[in-house]
Amino acid sequence: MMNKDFKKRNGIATIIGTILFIGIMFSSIIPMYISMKQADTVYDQKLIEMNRLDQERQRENVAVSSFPTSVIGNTITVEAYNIGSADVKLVRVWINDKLFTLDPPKVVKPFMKSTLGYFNPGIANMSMDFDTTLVSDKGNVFADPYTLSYIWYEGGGFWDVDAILVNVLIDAGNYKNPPNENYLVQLNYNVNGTWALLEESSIAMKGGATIKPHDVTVYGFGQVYQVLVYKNNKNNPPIADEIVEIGNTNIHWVTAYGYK
Amino acid sequence: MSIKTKRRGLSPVIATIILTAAVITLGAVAWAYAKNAGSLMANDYIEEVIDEVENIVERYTIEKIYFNDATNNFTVWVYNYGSISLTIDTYISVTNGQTYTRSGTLINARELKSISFNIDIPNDTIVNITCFSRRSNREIGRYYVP
Repeated sequence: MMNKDFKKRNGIATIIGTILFIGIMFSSIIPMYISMKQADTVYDQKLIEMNRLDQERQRENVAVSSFPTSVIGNTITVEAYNIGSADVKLVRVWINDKLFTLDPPKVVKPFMKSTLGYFNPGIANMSMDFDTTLVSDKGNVFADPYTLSYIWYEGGGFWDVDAILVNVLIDAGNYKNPPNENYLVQLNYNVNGTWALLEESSIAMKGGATIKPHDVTVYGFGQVYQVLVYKNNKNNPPIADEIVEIGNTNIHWVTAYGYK
Repeated sequence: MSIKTKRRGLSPVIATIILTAAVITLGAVAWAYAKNAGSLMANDYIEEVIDEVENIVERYTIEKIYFNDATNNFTVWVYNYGSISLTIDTYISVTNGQTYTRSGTLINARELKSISFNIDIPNDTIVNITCFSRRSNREIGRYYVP
């Protein structure tokens, strides 16, 4: 009877052993596998996140414009024009080795211009060059392609920047022998919506047409100025009244007709 | 007969209990070993992955380079714009053959740090700057001394 029972249960130990073995394997290896998969998932997530960050960083593009705040002042106005397709958060301004932290950071939206401030780069009593760069929170560095120069001479100094040249063409029309006349050329700049005198000069016309090159030092891409030309004096209305804007070219032509 | 009865083997019940205990013990040992080995392997793997993750999330840039010829002070500003701190070694190589090294500069996340060298650099010289992080990421900068 015993022998018969044993014969019937022959192989059960093998099955139980196999089940135990598989149980041991699963209970030890599956947690390991799950942990590894979780780690892989974290890695993949970080990889995607960093790729996205790098792409956002590449989309940042800012044109930097720096110019003296005033002709004889010691501060530099720094403007940022976002020419990229993503918002840019600017955190620092560098002028040479002088660091200015923007607190809070300045966010410039795409195709928007923002004045970051008026910064004193620390002008010493000597001629100096100033390079301006901006830094975004994503580590991009944007440089103004132009270097500002400050010229120092004994007792003072001034900014040496590209000037705007306004050519005023005064035409006497068909008069063969027009009378000798004086013309007054006036350049105004905008102060809070009103025009203020920047520079004034006069010219004597001896007949025919004449050109008055009006070379002045004014600053700022996109800045707008008013040119007025008076005949003889300011008692009469101006014979020319034009608006000029500093753009890609700083040479402007204004035509005034003396025979009017 | 009585002698024969005394020399009978262990009862099947006791034998089964002993065998079962032996099997359970061996099984437990095997299970514990496998589990520990699995944990160790998983931990090693996770640590490697964490190292790799730290490697890919590390971000820094050479933000500014400036040479003050009045003081012979050559300064490199490095900005860590990533989310983890890093340690960098900075190598300066001047075209006239001079080389300088500054090792082990710790920069925390979102921190700007300056690394200064006192170097006499002649005019019309190019200075190459290389920053290596301890995670093997590299940033290169170049500065011209007019």
